[in-house]
Amino acid sequence: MGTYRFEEHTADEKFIVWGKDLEDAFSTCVEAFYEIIIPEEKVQGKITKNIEVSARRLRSLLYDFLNELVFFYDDQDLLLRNVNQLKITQDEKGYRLSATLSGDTHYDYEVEMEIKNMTYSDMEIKQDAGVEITVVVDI
Amino acid sequence: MTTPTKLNEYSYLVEKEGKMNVPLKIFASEKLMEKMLGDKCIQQGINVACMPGIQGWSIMMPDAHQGYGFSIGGVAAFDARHGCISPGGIGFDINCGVRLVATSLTRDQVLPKIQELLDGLFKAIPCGVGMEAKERLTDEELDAILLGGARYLVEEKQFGEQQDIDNCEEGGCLAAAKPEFVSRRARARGRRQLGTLGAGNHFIEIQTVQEIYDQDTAKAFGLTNPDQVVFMIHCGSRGLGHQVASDFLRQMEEEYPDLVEQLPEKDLVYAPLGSKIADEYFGAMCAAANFAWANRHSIANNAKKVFSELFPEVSFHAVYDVCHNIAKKEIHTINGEEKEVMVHRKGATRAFGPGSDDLPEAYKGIGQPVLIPGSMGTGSYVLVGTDQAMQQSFGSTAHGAGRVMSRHKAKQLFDGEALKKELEDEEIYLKAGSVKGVADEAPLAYKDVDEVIKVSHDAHIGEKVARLKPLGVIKG
Repeated sequence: MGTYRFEEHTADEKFIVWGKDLEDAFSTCVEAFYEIIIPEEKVQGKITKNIEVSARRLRSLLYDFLNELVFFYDDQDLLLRNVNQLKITQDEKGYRLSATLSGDTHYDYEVEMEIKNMTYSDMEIKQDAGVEITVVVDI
Repeated sequence: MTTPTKLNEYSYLVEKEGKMNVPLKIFASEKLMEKMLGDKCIQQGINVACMPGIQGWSIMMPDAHQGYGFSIGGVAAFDARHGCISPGGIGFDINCGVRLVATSLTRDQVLPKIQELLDGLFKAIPCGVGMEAKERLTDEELDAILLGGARYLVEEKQFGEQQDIDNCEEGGCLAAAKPEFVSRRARARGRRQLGTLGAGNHFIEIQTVQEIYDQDTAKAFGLTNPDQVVFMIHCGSRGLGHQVASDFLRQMEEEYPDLVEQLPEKDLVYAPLGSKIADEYFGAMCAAANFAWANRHSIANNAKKVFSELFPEVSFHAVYDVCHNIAKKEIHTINGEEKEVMVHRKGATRAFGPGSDDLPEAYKGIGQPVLIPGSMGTGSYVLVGTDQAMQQSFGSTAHGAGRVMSRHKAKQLFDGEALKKELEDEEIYLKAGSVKGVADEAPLAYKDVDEVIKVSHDAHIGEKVARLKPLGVIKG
């Protein structure tokens, strides 16, 4: 798993993630995402969900992927904090992500913050020796 | 970036240059301008000035700060035929807005029962993170709400009163709503959220009329005496609205990939008015706006029940309900000619002056009530829309205080419990889902609302009617 840190942002939450490759960096985004919502690091993996998203650009793939997490929270009260598997492939149409995440409903956790939506604000995906991703989420 | 030129004590201008189609006008005092120069909001205002079909000026309100694509506190009017519509220019929380209800009670009557009142409201209205409504709306109910907004609740469900929708922007329902373009996912997110407050800066406040600046107008708005108790609701369309914005932002991005490559910020993505995707977005946005009106209406009427249980003799007057994240087709006079425009107000409140056909009969001769919520525990304002607003800002003014400090920093600097105590010393009582969590909504994390209002008043784009002081605050 990669690393991440939070940056100052006036109205919202901004984090930067470093991973050894795209898949590692996307998985680490999930970690940072849930740190905003709940302080605990451990969420029991009681419920498993498969997420499939595809997009023309990598940035849109990230946007759609993290918005899936927002959706599962609003629709099914789920905190899908554990990334069991995450794969990103590329073809002529763009990118495809398929992931298996597990977690639990939020009822037994101290929810501190609600993430209302993903944004493109300040979003960056830099691929070099490793991958660096900057994300701002709307809270 | 060009530094804005000061025109007078309350406004600045960035002349048209480069790719700008119109100048940028900023309503701000020196003090507020200093804050604006601290983030990217002015560049965002310039970016908006470059968009196709923009008319008059790109406008920034005194509470403007950096947003996604467009600044928050921005107004832009696009030619209804050759212009565009942009989800980022409306805001993700479609029809985030404010409803104000006046009561017949006075401060002295309410103060002894304030805790009971707050507890009752907190119980009756789901507030905060992870709090859902007790009922899950069926598809039929959700469709009816998306189509009919607050009007449907009053007319079909006999929930609330006629005055609630008479004294509401658009009568609580935008007729252009097209629920068929609200996605399955947006519906799923909203299904359990009708009548819920949500978290963040949304609140219900019990307030007292602290100061009246314009007696006649205040009286017409139902604010009759100092120490009168009113309540204010600030919230929007919840997850449903966010999902609508997000769905169409992504669709527009897929539809116009070349445009996206050229944009300085991807959240600026737009669709030309008249295109299929623009029509669908407008229809879905109106439906989400109706959901937001139904939401504030439900909260207000559930709050009335709680008041009535504790104070059986109480009566209510709906002052107004106004949105501050929306795009609307309106007619404005631009360079001496009447023109139909799509006015985007993102973190800006409509402030129509007297005589507008869009105002309820009771307010037609006076101007529209403009409701400006302050930060937690400070104060809120009631203003009145003006003729000057029609000429200067497409009938718009500010929408609130605007954040100046990150939530992390606020959490480091302030302690929720201590803050609660400090407010109590001023006889402001706080009830929150997480008292610890209110630290990031500390008053000092926001701009000075009084300064924002002073600029609006001095620029005559929204004039002071009354200041409201909180007595009880409910936060998510």
